[in-house]
Amino acid sequence: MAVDLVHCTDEQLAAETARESSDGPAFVALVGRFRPRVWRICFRLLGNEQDAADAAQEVFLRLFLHRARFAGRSKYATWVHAITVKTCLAMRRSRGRRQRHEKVGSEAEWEARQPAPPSAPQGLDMDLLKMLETLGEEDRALLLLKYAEAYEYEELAEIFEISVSACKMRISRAREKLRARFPEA
Amino acid sequence: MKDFLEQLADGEVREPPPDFDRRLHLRVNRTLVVQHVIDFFIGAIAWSAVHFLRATFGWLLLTITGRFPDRDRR
Repeated sequence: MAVDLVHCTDEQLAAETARESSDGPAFVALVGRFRPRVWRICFRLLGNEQDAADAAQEVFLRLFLHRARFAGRSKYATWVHAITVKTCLAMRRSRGRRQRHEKVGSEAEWEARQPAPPSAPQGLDMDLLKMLETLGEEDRALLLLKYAEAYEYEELAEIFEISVSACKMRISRAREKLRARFPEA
Repeated sequence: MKDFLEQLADGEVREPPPDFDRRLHLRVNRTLVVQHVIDFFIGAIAWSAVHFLRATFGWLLLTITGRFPDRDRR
């Protein structure tokens, strides 16, 4: 029986995608449905279009390759968002490692080749983004998703695979760290 | 006064590049081709290993007993 790809739930669409052997209509519909949210998370966490595009494509590629692995323990959307966050964090870590490696290789050359710092999105104070850079990767991501994308604690807890209370605690501690480091903020 | 972290929500998120879907489609298809080639070679290696072992077994049997293996027994 054909599934109405426009009106079906995320879970039904995912099941339909798992039945396809290539990127057929169900996968295309899935990409269309999740593209805006995945893109927003990637752009927020990575800060520029090029990296965000690479990460978002990587996310959809993973969704395609692991399309039969969704176990239904959480909402499909949460599963997708968790994959997105993990992909972005991995990308930031590898970018950091690569930059450190290059810096060790040739300090002067590295300085010269550094791209311009990411431009602050319109309407946002660049200092705030720099402040967030002083935090650990996961804490930074937690704050961005909580305050920039208005995620609920419950969903963040599922995405980061921690308890709700641990999630609240980490966000509160990250805020405190920022307050301590930048008292004028 | 607005909380300093709430200013994060004011940041504009740009649109994805216009060729995003096309590039994704190409990437997915490239990955599928690679996956199919790998599947094919894994299958081909298994198939040829089975046939090679059968031939080797037949040769050993012929050497030791002087009889060909019973072709009807599978």
